[in-house]
Amino acid sequence: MKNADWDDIQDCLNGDEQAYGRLVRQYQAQVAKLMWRFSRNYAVCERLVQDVFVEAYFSLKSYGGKAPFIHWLRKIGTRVGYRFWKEQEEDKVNVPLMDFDGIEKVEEDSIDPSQAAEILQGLLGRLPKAERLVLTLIYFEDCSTREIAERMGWTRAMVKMRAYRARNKIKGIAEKENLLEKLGWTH
Amino acid sequence: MDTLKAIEKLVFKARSEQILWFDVSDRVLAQIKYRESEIISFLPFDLFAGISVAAASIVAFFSINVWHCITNPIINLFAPLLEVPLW
Repeated sequence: MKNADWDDIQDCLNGDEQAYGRLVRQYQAQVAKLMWRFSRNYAVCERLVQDVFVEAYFSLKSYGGKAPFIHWLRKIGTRVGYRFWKEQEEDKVNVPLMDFDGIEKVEEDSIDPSQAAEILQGLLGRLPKAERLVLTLIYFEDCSTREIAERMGWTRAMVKMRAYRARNKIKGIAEKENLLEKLGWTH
Repeated sequence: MDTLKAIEKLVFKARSEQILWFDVSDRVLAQIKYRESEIISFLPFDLFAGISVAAASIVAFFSINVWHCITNPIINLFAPLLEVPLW
């Protein structure tokens, strides 16, 4: 871990809030990138980023400094994001499913990254939340099954099984929605 | 093209998505202050509750001892009458 981070963390624990402000400013972009995978709504994403940092602040004593600070923040972020999906499910919030009919044909190499992410998150949004989480972390964060297991406190075998099932399901959803035809990638 | 390969292409592209920049540091610090003040405002209640529990425990300790010593109150009511000589 960077020495500056460790100094700031120690200052925070001694009651210096400005030191925590420095940590937030340093890592907020990376945390925002992760939380964007849990909600593409700008306001919601912003609230989730705040929740991650507030939760991290009150758990700061439990941070041992063995792994880089950003790893610890990502772990909290993943749990906050997963809890957000759970709450949405429990509150029966109707998240509109992506309408794949609106997709326009586009060349494989010229597809816009935002459009690609939106399509992908639309597909992932139709999976059960545990499987959705596993594929979200694999696809967007390039996480290994071991890393996902560590972040969520699941067994590695369970993560592997969920990834396998999720891949099959997402393939089925994409085929059912005729995604390749809509994108014009049938060749 | 295979569906999974197409999804992989989407994944490859999606990873380079640029996220809008925002600064939450001030709001995070404000939220932390608010939550800390909430915790502090609960302290007197916690203290009062703690003292109440301690007092209740002391009362309960003595009450149990007294309860073990007490005889039946109904018998105690008629006891003086039983001692009155009938002749």
